[in-house]
Amino acid sequence: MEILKRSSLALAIFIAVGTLLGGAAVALAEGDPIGTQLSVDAPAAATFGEPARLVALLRDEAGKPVEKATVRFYSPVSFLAGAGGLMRLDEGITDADGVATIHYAPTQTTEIRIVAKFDGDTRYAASQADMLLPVNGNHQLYEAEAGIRVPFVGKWWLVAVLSLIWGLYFLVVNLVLRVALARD
Amino acid sequence: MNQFDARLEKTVLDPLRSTGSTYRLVMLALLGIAGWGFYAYTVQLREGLAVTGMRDYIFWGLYISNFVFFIGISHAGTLISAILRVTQAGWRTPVTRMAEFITVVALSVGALFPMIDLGRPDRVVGLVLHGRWQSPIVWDILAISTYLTGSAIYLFLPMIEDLAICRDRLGPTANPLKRNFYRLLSLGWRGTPKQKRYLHIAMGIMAILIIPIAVSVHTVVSFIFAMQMRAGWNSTVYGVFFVAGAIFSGIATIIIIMAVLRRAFHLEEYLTKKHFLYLGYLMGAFVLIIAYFNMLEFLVPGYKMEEGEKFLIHDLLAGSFAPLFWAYIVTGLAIPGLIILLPWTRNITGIVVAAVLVNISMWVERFLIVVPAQRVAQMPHEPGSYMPTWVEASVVLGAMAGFALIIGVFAKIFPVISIWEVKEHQEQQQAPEAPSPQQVDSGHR
Repeated sequence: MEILKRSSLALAIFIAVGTLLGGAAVALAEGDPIGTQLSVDAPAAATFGEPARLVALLRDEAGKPVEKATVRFYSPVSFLAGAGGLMRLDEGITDADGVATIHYAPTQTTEIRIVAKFDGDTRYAASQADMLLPVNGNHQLYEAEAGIRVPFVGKWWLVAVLSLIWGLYFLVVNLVLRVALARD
Repeated sequence: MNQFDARLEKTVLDPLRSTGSTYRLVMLALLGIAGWGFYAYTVQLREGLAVTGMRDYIFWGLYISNFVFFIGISHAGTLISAILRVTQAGWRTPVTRMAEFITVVALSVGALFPMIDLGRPDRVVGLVLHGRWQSPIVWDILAISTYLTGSAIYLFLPMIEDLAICRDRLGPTANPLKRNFYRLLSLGWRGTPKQKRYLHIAMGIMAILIIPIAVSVHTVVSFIFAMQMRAGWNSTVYGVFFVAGAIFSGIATIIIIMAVLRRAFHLEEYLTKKHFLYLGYLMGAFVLIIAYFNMLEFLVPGYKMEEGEKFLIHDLLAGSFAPLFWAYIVTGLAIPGLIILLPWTRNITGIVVAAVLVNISMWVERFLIVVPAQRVAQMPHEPGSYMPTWVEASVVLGAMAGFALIIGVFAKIFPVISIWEVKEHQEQQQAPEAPSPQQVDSGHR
């Protein structure tokens, strides 16, 4: 009986200690996410209005690719004085090689800063990277298309009519000047 | 110079020689109101469009209503002066100068309102530099600037000979500034055959050219509404409707200005009952035309009752805008029509009263075109509401006062009646057997 009591007590103590140690191990494991390293890459320059391919590479601190992680792409913008922030462009999920890809068509003709962010999860720590993307070119992005194309009908008719009217105005002004000159 | 000519010159030129206290008081009052309107505009410039009643649902209000109204009354000059000149209607001669004044001043004042409505006036530069040919607003800019230039030329041409009269009659006794002013603007007019020929050709060209330009201007103004797919605005007859309304309110404005200047400058001998009657008949004809267009504007969409149109028609006829709408119909169409129809009201006083009612009602009509259609919800939300603020009301009143002020100043600088045309018409009436000179524009002999 005494042996049974001592054995039960030992077992209970063992389970308790084991649980505590196991929990501590889990806690220790959760408190130390694996560090990550994010890099972002893009073409040397983008073309205004044309999609550019932005690529983010996410690796852990051991250099191994991180798969199925969400990487978000941003660009800092500012509006009126004091108002601004990160404008979200798109997001991608890393593949087996740790690569996330998006396509972004810039609508500004200046150098754009691209910021890629991985917000981290239970296993991996957050990381971010940024780069400057020069943008070339400048043209009207939206061109309205005529619903119906009629031969010879276009804005040049308007130009022609206005030119005729203003031409007649100048003729009249010329006549008025001749009135002044014909005083004798 | 015969007695008629001498009396005509004295009567028309007397206001240019001296100024009475009543005139000064009236001008001062108008200046005060215009100044208050300007102050209200500076408040808007400083604080932004938030000081107006316009918001995201109702984005056009008093300013655009006023814009359409003033562009409308600018048609006065074209109708009276150009059309009647081309058709050689002799009775128009004492009226043409005032009509041409009204055109230029109304256009100048009206053209300010899109810029006032824009909020930031510097954005007009964007319209010029980056405007698109496909935009009705760009067409507006082109049409109004073309019409204003043409109207200014058309005002000046027939005035050359009268400016020469001012130079010769007023110049010797006037101050140097006035003397030089008339001398410069009269272009050395001596009435030589060559001068008459050049002026005759120039006036002929402008008289014919200005008519289609005037029609196109208000048609293009209507396009800023009609080219939008919005219930109430999406109409194929807006061009004609606006032109007819413009001529209607233009005639009413001429009648009012004629009555004021006739009383102020003692022009009873030249602006007779006949002139008021003839313009009254024209106004009466346009009562019927406008009534017809109003009938079309409600019958056609009302028969189909598309959702947006249904809401708008109810709003106008029986809803929040019903009092204004029916007031416009009664006081703008029915009562003026009756006044002109009935013989015992068809006199100068009656016609002037009718003209005042028409002008007020046509302003209301412009408001009823601009604002209620914007209440029709374009997305699932409550209809917007609009209440003009003191800023908008002050700017609008200030502009109206400015309009009257400029007309008043013009009347003190330039003869309000075309002296040489009236003389010529008088000579023709007294010598009916004599061959009449070629006068597409009442040219000289």
